[in-house]
Amino acid sequence: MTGVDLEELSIRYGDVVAVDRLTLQVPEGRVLGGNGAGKSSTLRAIGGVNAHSSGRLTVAGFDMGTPDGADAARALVGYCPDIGGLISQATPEEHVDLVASLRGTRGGKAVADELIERFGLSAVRDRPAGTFSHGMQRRLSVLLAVMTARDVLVLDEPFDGVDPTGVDVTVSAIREAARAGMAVVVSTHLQHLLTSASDDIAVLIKGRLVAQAPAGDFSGAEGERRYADLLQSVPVEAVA
Amino acid sequence: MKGLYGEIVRGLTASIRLSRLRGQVRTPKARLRTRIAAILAALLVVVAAMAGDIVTRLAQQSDSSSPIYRYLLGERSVSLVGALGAVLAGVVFAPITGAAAQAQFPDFDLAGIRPSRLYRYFDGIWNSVLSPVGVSPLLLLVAAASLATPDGRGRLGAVAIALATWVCAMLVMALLAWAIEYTRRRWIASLRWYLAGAASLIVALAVIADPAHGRTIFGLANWLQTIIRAGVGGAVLPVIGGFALLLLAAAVTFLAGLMVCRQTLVLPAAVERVRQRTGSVKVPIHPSWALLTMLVTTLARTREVRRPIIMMIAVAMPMLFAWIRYSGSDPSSMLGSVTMVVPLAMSLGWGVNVFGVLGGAVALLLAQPRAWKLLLRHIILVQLAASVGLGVLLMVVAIAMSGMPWSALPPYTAGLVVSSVIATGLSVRYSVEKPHRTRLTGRGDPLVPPITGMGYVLRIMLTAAPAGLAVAVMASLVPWLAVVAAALVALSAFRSWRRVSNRWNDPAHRSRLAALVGAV
Repeated sequence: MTGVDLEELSIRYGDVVAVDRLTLQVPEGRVLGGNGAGKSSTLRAIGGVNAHSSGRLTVAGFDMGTPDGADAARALVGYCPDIGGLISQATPEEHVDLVASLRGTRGGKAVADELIERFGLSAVRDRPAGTFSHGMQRRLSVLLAVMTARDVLVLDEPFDGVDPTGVDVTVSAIREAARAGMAVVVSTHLQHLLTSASDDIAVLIKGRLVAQAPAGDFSGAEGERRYADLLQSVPVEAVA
Repeated sequence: MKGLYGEIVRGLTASIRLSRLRGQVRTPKARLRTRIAAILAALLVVVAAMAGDIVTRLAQQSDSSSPIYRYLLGERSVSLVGALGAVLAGVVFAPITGAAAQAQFPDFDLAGIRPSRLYRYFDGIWNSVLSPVGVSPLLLLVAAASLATPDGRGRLGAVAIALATWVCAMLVMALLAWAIEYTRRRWIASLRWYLAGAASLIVALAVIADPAHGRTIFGLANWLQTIIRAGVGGAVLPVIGGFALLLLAAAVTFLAGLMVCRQTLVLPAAVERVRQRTGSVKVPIHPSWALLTMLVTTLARTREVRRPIIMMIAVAMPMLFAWIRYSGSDPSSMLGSVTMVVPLAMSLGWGVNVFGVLGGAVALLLAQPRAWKLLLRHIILVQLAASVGLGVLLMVVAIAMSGMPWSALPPYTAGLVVSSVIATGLSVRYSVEKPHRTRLTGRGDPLVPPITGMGYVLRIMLTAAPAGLAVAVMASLVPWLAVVAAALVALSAFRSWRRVSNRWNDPAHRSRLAALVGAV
């Protein structure tokens, strides 16, 4: 399959194990929502920013363990990191142009204008990103990921601090990407958004996958209870 | 005064307590590094105090009648005047540029501890003393005192006078920094730039009006030379008197600084106007040019990077040129100072922590195809081009001002290229191997911690500057020798590039770097 394929993936920072032998698949056209500890490290690896320590990671059919494979995959992945991910001194328009130039996909001013308008950034198009509120920065980061995604869209905490309009735009962008046949990976700690935006949900604790189920299993009051029980039922020693 | 005395005691106690708390949260490795830095600094002071003996021995082993020894040694040498001039320039301009302001106003969140407000005065001085802003004047003055007493007679008195002068300088700098902060809070936040302009104008007019054209630092150097000469002649009283007078001046400055600090802190903090809108640059379509454009734009738009570079080009170097011209010193020293200062300033303002400056943008760039390969090369290119370009520009100004022959330009340009290559290589290595997370707020935040910065200054100054000067002098005298030296430097630069690029090519290292600098 293409999409995203993790096989016994581990990510370590010195002695700290952030992701421990994680095995997951995100097929094309599906949205996987995730929560728990170790998700940002996993998403950074899928986005091509982090290197994995062991196991196998295939993104859009390319092996991320080789430099050429990682570069080929980066050209097909749109990635929004959990924090940062922006040039403080650059405006939204400059971000759009830079990223498009680096990928060789400059589509002219009209394309940039349309995206900036869609994500509600028209009023701040000539302001440096460092002067934005947290929510506005998230919107810009999501915009860049959506703009660059070809086969895989990876969004780490895209709803954090974003107002309802921004949430709607992001959810619709996720749905559009899935409809277009992309594999979408979204992480958020906001459970109702996780269930409404995703097809499947994976829960990681201490870098290990402890549950993976259809999003419907975790929606509504019943689903929330199930989720809370799941978190409490996992003995620490079982995942340590 | 009882109230003020109480506040002083509480402020000092809080400062000592905070210093201990900071010591407790340091990792064993960081604690070891701090101790090593302290020992090195102490050793450097001892070496500076022995500078007179070292140069005297060198003079005895070679041609002691050489003019260089006449310039360097003795109580009438230019060393003391040069050191005093450099220290005074630092004292006046460090608070204006923000190099000292950050030390004066650390932005730690201390709401939970609620220390006495005057702790900031003591904490600011302590931070300044530990930073390059404090250590370099100490080394300069002690070395100058030692050179003024080459045979050892009167050395103790001269070093004591140098130490007292340094204490005065540090307190004057704190007073100026708090006075500037007071004016910012009382009137307008951007007032310090007008003050910088006024200070430059006053210094320039004073140099022109002074019959000695600043050669005696407006009489101060003469006074210190008289005291040191008396000490060399065996008279103790003038030395004790001078020492006491300097301590008295330090005490008065200390009290004045405290009063200004107290008055400043009752006013609300100044809100500096943040530039909300900026003209968009046209990003080129070609990936390489696009990245280069954004790096240059980031350099130009980041205050902490831009300010020291502008101050160096627009204020410090022209002032130095004017002083050299009017004091009748050797005009080639203008070109020599450009060779030493410009690559160092570019390294400290940009190169030593370029990934810290980029912060979260590193993750954005690493997520783009092939951008990581371009990034390091472009960072080096920007620093090297800016260092050589600005240096040559200043050299042209210096030659036009002094009437030196234009034939002086090529050898010093060769020297500038060599010192820029070495400084860039070192600073990019620090940036890749030891990145620092830094939150740049536009208030003059340092790119690296003060002690680390001090180490960088010393290492870059001791390697890049002498090599650049040596090549410049060789190129003037024996051009083929300069070609050999340049080839050796190129070889060393290649080795340095290999080392840095090997580290950068390691994806695990890039991951750690992006995670570290991006978490702001």
